[in-house]
Amino acid sequence: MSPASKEHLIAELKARIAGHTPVAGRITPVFSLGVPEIDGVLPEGGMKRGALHEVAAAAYRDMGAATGFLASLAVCVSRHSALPVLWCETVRPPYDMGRLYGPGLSAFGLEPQRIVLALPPGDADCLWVMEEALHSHAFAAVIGELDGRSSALSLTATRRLQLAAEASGTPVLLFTGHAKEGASVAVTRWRVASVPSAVLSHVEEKEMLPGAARWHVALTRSRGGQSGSWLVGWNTMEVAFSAVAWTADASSERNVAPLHDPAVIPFRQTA
Amino acid sequence: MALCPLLELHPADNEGNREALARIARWCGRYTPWTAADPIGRGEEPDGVLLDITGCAHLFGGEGELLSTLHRRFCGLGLTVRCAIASTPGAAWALARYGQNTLSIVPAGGEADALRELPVAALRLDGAVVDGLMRLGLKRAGDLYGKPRAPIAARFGAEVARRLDEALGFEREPISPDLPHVSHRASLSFPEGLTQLPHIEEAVLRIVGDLCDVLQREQQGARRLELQLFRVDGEVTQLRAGTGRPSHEAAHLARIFREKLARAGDDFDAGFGIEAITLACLAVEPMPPMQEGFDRNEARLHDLERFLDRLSNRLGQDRVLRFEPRASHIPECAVVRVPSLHGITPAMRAWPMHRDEHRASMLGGSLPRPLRLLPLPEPVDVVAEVPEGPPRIFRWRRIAHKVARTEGPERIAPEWWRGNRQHTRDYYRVEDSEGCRFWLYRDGLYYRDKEAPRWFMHGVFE
Repeated sequence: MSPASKEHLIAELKARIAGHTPVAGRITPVFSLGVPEIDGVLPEGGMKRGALHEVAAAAYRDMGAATGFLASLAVCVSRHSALPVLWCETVRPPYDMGRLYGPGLSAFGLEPQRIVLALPPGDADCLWVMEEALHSHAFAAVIGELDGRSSALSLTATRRLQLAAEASGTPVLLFTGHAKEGASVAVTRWRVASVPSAVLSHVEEKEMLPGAARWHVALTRSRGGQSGSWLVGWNTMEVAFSAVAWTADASSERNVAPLHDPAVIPFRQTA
Repeated sequence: MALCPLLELHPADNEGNREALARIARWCGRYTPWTAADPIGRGEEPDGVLLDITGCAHLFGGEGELLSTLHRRFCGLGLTVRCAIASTPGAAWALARYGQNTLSIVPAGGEADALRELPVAALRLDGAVVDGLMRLGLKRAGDLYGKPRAPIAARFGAEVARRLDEALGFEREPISPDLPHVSHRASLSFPEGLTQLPHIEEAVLRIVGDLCDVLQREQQGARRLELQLFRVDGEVTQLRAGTGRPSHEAAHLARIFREKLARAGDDFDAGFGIEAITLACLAVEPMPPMQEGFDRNEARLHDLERFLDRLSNRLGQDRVLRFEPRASHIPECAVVRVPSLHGITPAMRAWPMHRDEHRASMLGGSLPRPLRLLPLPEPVDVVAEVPEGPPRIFRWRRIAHKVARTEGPERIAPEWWRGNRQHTRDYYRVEDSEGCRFWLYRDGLYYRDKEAPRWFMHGVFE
């Protein structure tokens, strides 16, 4: 048998075997958060895989909550995949809320053995690592922590990430800290704030324990979809979102901010 | 000074000399891997380089050609050198320092004749011993031939006979090279120095290909590699790379080195050109041929390994990590970050078990662990209702938090068998009025420790 026909035969066999794999194992273009309320708002009924998604904390104190939401997204992405997740941690975290903690991740529901940590020395290196990781096709998701104020995180940089994500079909999750939103081409952008635990009616307030984590999650930007904001909880036992409640619309939240920012000087034509 | 008023005096820079010798020895590595700075010199300080050219001379056109090439190259570097080739290091040492000619080659078996007329100092003996032998009238090395050994040994020690035997080849004297043991090695030299990075990269690709062919034939894979770039002006650049799994895939290994070169970028200086390249395997592992999987997952795993190799070599091993659990109750000791180049260690497979255990303990009332742990616990000011109770208000990083809910304490005792003098800690999971959750602990016990316990912040929950 000539080598060419052998290769042809192998390719054919591979294609036939690929046809037998169950449908669940196939890569879908979107991943679901497992919450109908949120999935329904997103275009195509879930978060796009080959895309850049940004997660930010609403304030400095909400960094923990934002980390939790990021981890929960990582769980959702990698639910039907055996591939690891790359987490690029900044060496000196602007989020000096500490470093990722294995037992904590394990308790949260994100398996630590599936995480590969990269500690790039600078922001530019971090972007390089993320882009190369996307090109390698070896990860279920790529997560990067980059200060939103960093000069490296320009419109061009996010566009590069977005293009790499589109080409590989791997989602990129960018954690931009609590900084003000910069220019970005991210497909979705989430703002996360922590919320006190649920009040149980039959227990006296003084004796109440901190319950399951709850966050106020606002989808402030969604390309081709609506924005929204929800109160979500995370159930570590079932490793899934729980207790979702629709809160105020994101547009109303936006109205809270002063419309006329004094820092903005109106454009004036001189000619 | 009166005789020669123009004479300039400089203090001897022994340290610098030794460094220069080591550099020269490294540069000579392009001729043979077994090179070393000679530890013995004519005076107190070393003043030479030893090369074991066994099996290498024919690659450079024979011994005579090699010797003249070396001499010419050294003269080109502005050094005044004397070279000798002999079957024993001792004879070569003697001829290079006391021989009549700048270049000399001793044919095998001719050591005794070559050394006969040289002074006894050529035998690498101490100054005092040489003086003693001279006083006895034993001025030349030849005078010692055939002399009864016992009286000389009684007077000057066994040193004299040993050095003589070493020089004449009656006793073995191995050269210990500066380089680690190398199992596979490839080298390339160029008639004209390469100065352009693309050319160097092309050369690296070729040399990696050569080495990989050999490795593949022997069913071996490289784990650690060292690339040496020899510059025309005698400088040597070393690049080391490692892989997480044995590999003899030329494209992959070449890519690692290419990225290393690119990373060296501005620092990397080809000077007047790179004239030779050697690539050595510092560690190899058997790598039997494997059936290529039909599975797409397997291909992805290979992609992953390749990517991690590249990342580890570019960022550094200690910057690409995985979590490995450890059997310890002390939170900061319960996990270590190990380089991903070590692969998936058996301990890592214990994570799911860890999780099950954790779930069970949660039902049993144990506290969960935070997502982020502070590398160093930070002291916090705490107001508690009762000394041993949970915090009510705490101040961390200049922000006051009003505690709404608490869970705890979880008491974690120090590991006394390790002998460290830590205190017992009482951990609390607290939630402030804003809903942020923190992991605080009280360091020490009120009734047992002499100093008052202090509070620390140790982590942040989701």
